[in-house]
Amino acid sequence: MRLLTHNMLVSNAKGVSEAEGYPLALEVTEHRREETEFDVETTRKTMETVKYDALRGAARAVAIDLPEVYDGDDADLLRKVHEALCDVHVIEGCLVCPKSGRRFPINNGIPNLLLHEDEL
Amino acid sequence: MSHQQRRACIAAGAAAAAALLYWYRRRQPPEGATLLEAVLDEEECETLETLLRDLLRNGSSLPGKTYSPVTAPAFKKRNQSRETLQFGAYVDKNRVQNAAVAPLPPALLRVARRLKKLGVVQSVPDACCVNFYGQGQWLPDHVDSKKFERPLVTVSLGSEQCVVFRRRGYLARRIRLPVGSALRLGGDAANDWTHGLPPATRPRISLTFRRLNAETKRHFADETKAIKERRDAKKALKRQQRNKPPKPSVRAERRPEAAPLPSEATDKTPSIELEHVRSVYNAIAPQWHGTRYKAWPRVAKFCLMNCGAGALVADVGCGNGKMADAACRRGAFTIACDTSDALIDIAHTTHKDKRYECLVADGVRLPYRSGAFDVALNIAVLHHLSTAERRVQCIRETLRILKPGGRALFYAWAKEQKNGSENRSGHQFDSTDVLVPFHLREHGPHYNKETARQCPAHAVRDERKNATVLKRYCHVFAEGELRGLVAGAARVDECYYDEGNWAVACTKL
Repeated sequence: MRLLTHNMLVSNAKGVSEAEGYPLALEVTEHRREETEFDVETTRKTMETVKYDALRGAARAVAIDLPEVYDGDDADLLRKVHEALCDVHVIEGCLVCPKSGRRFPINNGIPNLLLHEDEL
Repeated sequence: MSHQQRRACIAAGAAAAAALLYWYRRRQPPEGATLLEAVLDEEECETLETLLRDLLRNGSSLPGKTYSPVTAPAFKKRNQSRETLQFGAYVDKNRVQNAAVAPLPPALLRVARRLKKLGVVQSVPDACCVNFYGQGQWLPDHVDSKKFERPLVTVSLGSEQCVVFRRRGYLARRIRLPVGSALRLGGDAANDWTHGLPPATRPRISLTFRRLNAETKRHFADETKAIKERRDAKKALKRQQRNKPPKPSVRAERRPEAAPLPSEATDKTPSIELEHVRSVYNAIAPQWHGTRYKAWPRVAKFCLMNCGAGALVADVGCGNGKMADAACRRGAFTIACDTSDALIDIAHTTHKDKRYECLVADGVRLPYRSGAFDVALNIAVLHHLSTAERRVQCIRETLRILKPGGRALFYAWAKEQKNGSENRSGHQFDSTDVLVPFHLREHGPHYNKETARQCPAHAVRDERKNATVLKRYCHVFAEGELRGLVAGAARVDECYYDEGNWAVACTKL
């Protein structure tokens, strides 16, 4: 799971609203970096959708420090953002609902956000 | 004058008399044949000839078999043929046939009426065969078909030619036919004498006026009626077949049994979906993946049109991720999900080097932010949801995660399955909620004993096919059903039938 995906994820636990269930806390036990091609325009366009604060919080879990304020004209920052969004893969870990504390496991790079039947 | 001289003289006289008699008798029409000269005057002849030649020129545009060109090569070679126009009755090689031809045109009808007025015929002829003889063309000796009433009347135009009558044991008779004359053939002349025309020295037109006898007319009318009735019956049968449900297919499993529907309305996943969708896909994932790895062309086209660089795409119910290539081709980032973790494993393994992310999640409760995605794909998902509420919920969720102006594409299996090669899966549905069998082979290239998942409880072993039969639940969509569901939530851009599915492309407003 890449951080771009994490940025879109919200807890769907029962009784948790979208505002309460975002962002999911990220616990990382294993992650990997795979460098991919960086394109300023694509990253800038992607950042229109990304919530920067949530990305900054998640990046901390994989040891990437992002500045407090996002500046779309800063090429160096964009490169760093691209690394955080697309190059880091969380292989093993957990996503935690900030409201209910429900833990969604990440195994072999695949998060499982399927609720159990007794949670519905 | 000597005795001898006298005898010679008498002989010569007798010979001359005999020759004269012969000449005279040769030119006497046989009994029943009468020649009436100047039935049409010179001006009438010219007008009629011009008119008929005009008709001939446009012969091919005349109805049915009215116009007959010279076709038989052997006839053409021997000059034993000519162009004809036939009105009221059709004759081919002196045989009357029940073919569609034009009725007598007014100009010929006028001539026919005059023949009656002149007392040549008892009743007005309703058929006329117009023969156009070119130079050198001739007509073999013949007796006109007995299906025509007697007398027959032939009016000559164009140039004066001869007709020759022959009968065994009689002297042949040669009658000249002046322009504007009418030759009436009745009695012996029409039935016992043959008549033929020697090669024409100049172009000539002959008009043979006749009437089919009552018996033939009745026979033809019955025949035409029977043909029409047969054709109508065939049409009606075809119409009936079109409206009838399709014939039972040979393979019973292609006509799936009806599925029992959940009755309780809760947030929980109905047990039929757990047992007959999720568990089935988890068990069949490797084999499923082995035969379905290509994106449908129209879905791929939709992706190419909408998924540009920097765009975010949600593939809701991605299965084995067969849309991955199409979705990512132009640089979009795709997040795909499915309830079957076995399928997600396959999708992840197959596409992890692309900008394609997989997770296990339910399309009815998507764990995504609202308004985050540019494009959403919901391909072959809705037909696995067992209640109308859940299908609507899945559509709502798919649209919720889109940005305003974002585009979504929905595909759902159609109840209306076409026949023949267009129906790739070969299924026919009698009911809208069905259990579709899947034959899971526990052998072969897609089977791995180590990683194989446990089959759901309903699975049965089919020894004959050496397979385990699992039943997938499907709600097949009737025409307009998908459109109706989507139209309540978004602007429908396009609605079509493709790959046995109903498809709707829409835009979130």
